[in-house]
Amino acid sequence: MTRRLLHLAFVCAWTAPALAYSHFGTGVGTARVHWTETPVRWLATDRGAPGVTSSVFQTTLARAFTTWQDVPTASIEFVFAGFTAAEPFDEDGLSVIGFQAHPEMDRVLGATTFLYDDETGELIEADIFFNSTFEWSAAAAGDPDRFDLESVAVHEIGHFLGLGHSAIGETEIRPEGGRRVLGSGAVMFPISLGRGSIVDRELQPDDVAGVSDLYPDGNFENATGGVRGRVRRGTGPAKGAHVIVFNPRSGELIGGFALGDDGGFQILGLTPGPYVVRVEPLDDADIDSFFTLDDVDIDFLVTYYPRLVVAPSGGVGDSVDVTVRPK
Amino acid sequence: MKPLAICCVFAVFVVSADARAQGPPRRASSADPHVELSVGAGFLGGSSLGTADADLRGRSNQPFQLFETSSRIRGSVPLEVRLGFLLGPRYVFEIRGAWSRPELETSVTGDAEAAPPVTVVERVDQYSLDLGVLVNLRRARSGSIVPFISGGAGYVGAVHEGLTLLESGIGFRGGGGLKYPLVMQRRGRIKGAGIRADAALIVMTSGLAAENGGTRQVTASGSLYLSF
Repeated sequence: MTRRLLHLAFVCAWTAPALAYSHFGTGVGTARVHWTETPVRWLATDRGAPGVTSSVFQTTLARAFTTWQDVPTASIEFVFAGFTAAEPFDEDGLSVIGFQAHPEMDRVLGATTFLYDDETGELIEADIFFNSTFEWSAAAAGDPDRFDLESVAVHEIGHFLGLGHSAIGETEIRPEGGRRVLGSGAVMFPISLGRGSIVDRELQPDDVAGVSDLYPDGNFENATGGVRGRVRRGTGPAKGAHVIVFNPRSGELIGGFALGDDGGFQILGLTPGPYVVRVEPLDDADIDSFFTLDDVDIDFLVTYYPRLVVAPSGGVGDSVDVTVRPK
Repeated sequence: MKPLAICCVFAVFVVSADARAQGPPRRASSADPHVELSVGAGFLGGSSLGTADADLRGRSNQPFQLFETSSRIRGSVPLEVRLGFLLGPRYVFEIRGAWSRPELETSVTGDAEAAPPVTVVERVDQYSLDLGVLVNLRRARSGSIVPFISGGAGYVGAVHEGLTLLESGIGFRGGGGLKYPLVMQRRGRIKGAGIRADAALIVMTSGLAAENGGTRQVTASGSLYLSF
């Protein structure tokens, strides 16, 4: 067994793009990073931040954990194991969550690290820090001048579970640098909607599909379906293309990436039914927010597959080839 | 005006003839038909399946539209088979099965990244099997038109291309039509034959139906029937 530490800076204040759901380890020849034993124990540092006491911090985090735990199609449980003097990011076998001041990370609201077995993907430890350089709020209705702790916590706990970033979102370049989010379709989108926003307290279909695929519960695999295919540009793959599927009946919007060597993609956890398939380049944020690939193709136009694609119940439909045109 | 006058006279004649036929109820005998089988085809109208926006959560709690869709089921040609059990001269208990191959169509417009509008389709096999009652508004007589009303309810299913998915729901049907007996006889296995025209409104409440309520389709068909 090789223990590997993966350090990921996740929710950015105003920089970064988003993609449909992804799992750490997917498509890179490794097992998916996930917990194998539940309930997962977590500890909180016995230290608050301006506007958030350690007690409020703990109860806010507990609510965020419950948000994921309550997904009916996923099976994962958490338990608060107490306050600790230990710090996040220490390799100590403890999953510690707490505030830390990192003024040098001036666009990072929070980050998650993992210690995992790189043969099995089994998580051994995961830590989360929230950057106390920013001003935080735990108010029920949010605070227009502060970042909502619970929203960012729900995002970071998604990473804590083994989820990567989703790219369902649209951004624009800010004149002063960085990106501004115009719309976000998943809690796991890497860029915050900004101060005062509390919408990320609630999981979106893309988040639910991602965690349910990683920790399927009961009849999830039989009750849901998937779509698969390839994204091609000319004779080659459009590597890293972002594929969004939309169910016109339920309004579900779930995404994935063409990460196969042949431009292949597969999106699971879908409500059975017909889907609109939309393919777009990963150009709403830095590509390394999603994965580390050198040959990601972003030089093509947004393309819709010309037919509805069916996600069958309990299976994956026939493979579809989406051919995109260069810009 | 002349054709209209002729029609009126014909109608009066038919009604009065039927009125004359009213008398003491005749007891059914083994010589009367008991079963009616009809086979036909027609047209099943298209219907809207509603609109849906692919919305992202935007700033200030305002949704950001990634694109919008509008879906409908296109018209199709159904094949229909009915098996009727005559409960008397007027009432028929019917089992109706129908199959058609409509296309589901979704139009995508308003893409946030200016992708051109596109219409995507998928063909489905739509099946229905319902139970209902047909009421003849007068007794059948050879060479005379018999109007009827009918209604029923039952299963509606759709199998997508590749037999990959079955969506099922409940459909309600109400309408009426005309029968025109060509042959009526009291001897032999086949007691009668004729043609039949049906028109109905079908309301689906699930299955392919729009999420926000029933989906209405108008259907019209013509059939040949045999009475046994």
